[in-house]
Amino acid sequence: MFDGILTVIGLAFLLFGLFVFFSAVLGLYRLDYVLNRMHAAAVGDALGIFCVLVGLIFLHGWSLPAAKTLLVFLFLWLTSPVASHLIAEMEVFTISDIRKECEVEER
Amino acid sequence: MPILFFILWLLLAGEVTLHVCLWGVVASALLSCFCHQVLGYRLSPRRGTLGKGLSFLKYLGHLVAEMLRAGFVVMRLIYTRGRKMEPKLIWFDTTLKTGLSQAILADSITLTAGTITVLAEDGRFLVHTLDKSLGEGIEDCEFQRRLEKLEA
Repeated sequence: MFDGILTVIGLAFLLFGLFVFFSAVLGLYRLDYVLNRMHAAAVGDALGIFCVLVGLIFLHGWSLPAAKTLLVFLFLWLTSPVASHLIAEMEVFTISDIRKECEVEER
Repeated sequence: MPILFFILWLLLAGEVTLHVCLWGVVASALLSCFCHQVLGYRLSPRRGTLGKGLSFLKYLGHLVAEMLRAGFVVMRLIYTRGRKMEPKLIWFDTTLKTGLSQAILADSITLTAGTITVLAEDGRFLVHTLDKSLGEGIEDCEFQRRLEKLEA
């Protein structure tokens, strides 16, 4: 009974994670500029990965693979912002006129 | 630091035998030596480190909650607004003093979907937001307030 409930919760997380990734891919098409598209991809990196991996932890139960899954979270969330910084910096400082793409504000 | 490496080794090996432990001790010692001598990393616990560690864990919890909340917000924007977004680049100064805190703030902003740190140099941040509503009050966000408390 308890295992059945955990399986259902795990599957729900997995399916929702898939839906989040679908939304992220849809965002890549619906948004029209590289920096905007990066935000759509970030949804998959944060919410999508979280739901899929938590779903896997529920399906496997608390075990060694589950602990390794937490390590995946750690390494992914440590490295992903670095790549995002570099791509965004390259785009903003190499485009001829960034003000055509978005408003720039000084605070 | 060697203890952290050894725990990581055991976690990845998936079993605790004499063979695994011996190789783990050797690998951890070599890696620690490399980090200490070549990369210059130091782990030197001081008074109050434990308390700050707990506060940092609370910060991580808040970060994960914000990441998930922002994910839902951006998903809603993707479905409802599409190309009618009003993206914005915002320059602002942070009140954080140390490089480590500034790096953590930059990473936290990037991990939160809808905002990306483009540049973080000498306390000056450049952040891209998917919609102008996401950038309101970013120069005095909760991440910064919590990191200020950790710095103190």
